[in-house]
Amino acid sequence: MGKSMIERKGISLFGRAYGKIPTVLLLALIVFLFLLPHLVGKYVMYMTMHILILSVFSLGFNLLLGYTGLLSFGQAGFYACGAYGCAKILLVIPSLLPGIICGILFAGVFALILGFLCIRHTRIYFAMLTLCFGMMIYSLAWKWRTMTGGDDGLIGIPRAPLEIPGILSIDMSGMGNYYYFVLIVCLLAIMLLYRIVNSPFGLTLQGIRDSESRIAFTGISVKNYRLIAFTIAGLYAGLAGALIPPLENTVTPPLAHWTHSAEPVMATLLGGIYTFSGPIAGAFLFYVIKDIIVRFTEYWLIWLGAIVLALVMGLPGGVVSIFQRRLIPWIRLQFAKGSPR
Amino acid sequence: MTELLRTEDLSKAFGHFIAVDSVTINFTMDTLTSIIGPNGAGKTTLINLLTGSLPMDSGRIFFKGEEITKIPTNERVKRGIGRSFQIMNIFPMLTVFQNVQIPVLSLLNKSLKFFSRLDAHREVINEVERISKEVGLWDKREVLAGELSHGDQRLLEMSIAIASQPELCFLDEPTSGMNPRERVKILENIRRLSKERRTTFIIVEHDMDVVFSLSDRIVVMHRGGIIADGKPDEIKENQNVKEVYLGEELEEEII
Ligand SMILES: Nc1ncnc2c1ncn2[C@@H]1O[C@H](COP(=O)(O)OP(=O)(O)OP(=O)(O)O)[C@@H](O)[C@H]1O
Ligand SMILES: [Mg+2]
Repeated sequence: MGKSMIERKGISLFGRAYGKIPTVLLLALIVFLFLLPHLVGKYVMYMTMHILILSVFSLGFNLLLGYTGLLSFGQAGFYACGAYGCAKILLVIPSLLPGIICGILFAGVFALILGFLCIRHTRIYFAMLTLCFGMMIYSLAWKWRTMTGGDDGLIGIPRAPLEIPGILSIDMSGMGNYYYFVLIVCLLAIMLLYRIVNSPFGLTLQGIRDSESRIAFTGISVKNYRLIAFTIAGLYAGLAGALIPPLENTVTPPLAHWTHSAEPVMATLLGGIYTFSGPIAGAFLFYVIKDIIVRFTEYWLIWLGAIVLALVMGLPGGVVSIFQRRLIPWIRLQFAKGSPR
Repeated sequence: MTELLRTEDLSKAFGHFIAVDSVTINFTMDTLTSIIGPNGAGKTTLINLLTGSLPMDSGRIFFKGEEITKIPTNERVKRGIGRSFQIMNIFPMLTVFQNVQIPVLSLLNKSLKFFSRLDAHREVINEVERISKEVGLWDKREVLAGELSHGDQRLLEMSIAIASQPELCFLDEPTSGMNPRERVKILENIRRLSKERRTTFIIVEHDMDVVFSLSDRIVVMHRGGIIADGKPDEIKENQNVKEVYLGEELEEEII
């Protein structure tokens, strides 16, 4: 009995069902992803890469929202840091790993600095601050022509080979090899995050989400833990962004725009906040729905937003998760009313 | 007797309303103290100041001889101060087990382990098991805290507080809204922990039976100040206290 408790993983409540997804299914999915290049054409492969990248982006975002209780509207800023950082390096050193790693670190440093200024605040103040900082990065990408290429962005970024001197050198010019690179990197990142959310640190973050005032009385510095979570989310956004330039061969300012920050928000809301895998399912849904709508109208974002809204309203889990901050205090109040103060 | 916590002229006002009015008090080790007083006397506010939940307007606080006036809550906790809350303050979306696990992880300096599994820390698991069994929540360890009954939530509230193994622990109305059976459970736990763990409890309580059966010392607050302080027998006979409580009752009757 005691063991089953201890062995249970993931966020509780709506995540309970997650533990029941048989490992077999998960493995089948991974095998399928590895076989994909042999089964489908380039377009599906290209879409799958974007789904994987958005998954990583959204998982990082949900470390803040679902686990720590912080809604960030500026994640695209860090995504762009990753993309521009990687692009800049690749234009100088045509080697994949240094590009990706620098992109990640660049985003991480930005997240650490901006996080320091944001984590003092919560709720709407936090959301607004992150939105502002995200847009600051956007205007930086837009205006700092000499560094970023302005509205033209950076172009002609090579899909550089994966090289480790003396060990291996894999050509990436074909889509297939780069697909495997993205797949493996994303899977590793996802596994690592799964590890983190189920660690003592991950549990402590959930404590912060549930009650800030209480967690201070367990000796935890809320600010420090929030800052770490914010930085990890920034690193994940950076990784997602860094995978873009070799894929698209170009990076442009809209990567940092707030409408791009909305993508992980929508993916996470679609998939569910309180499950580890929610953002991954959401990223898949996001691209499938978008792919369908784009065929009919260029205003896909409006329609997608409407669909997300409808889904979230229709799904009880979604509503509860959004209004968590209001609902839980309300429930507490009901308890408190029952007792003389 | 060894001094644990001492204040000098502690004050706090909300706007023009003075909730705590230059309180100078000290708490000694192993003396179970109850703080009583009518509603709005400033008891909870005093605890908030002592634990760092609220910033004070003026005054100083010392814990075991060292000044802690400007130290944030989480640092005070690390030094040995704990509390429970009058209004339920647990981790509602986590299980009972996890609720207790968080403070234990922090106590054993394991909260910053990023990559290890939760069950990798045997000593944490054992400690959580011990606490949950002691307070009688072991059978409900897998229940989400938000879904517990009111009484069990109060028990959990206390469990989280004691899981940090504080030397000095404030309990703000630990038995409020409980039925007599649950009340006994809480009181047993307080007595046992005082003895076994040498935790010094400071309790805010409205139930006079509880107060007089449990306390070594009683502090009476009224309008932000301390109007009486002494052994239970002395407080029973205290004229000021009688007036305050009699006054309250009269007011209630008039209303
Ligand atoms: N954050 C706050 N802002 C404004 N006024 C407050 C605040 N907290 C407490 N007060 C006021 O300060 C006074 C003292 O409140 P406090 O909660 O300390 O009383 P208490 O002795 O704990 O009463 P009770 O027995 O009802 O819990 C009350 O009149 C209350 O309305
Ligand atoms: Mg009170």
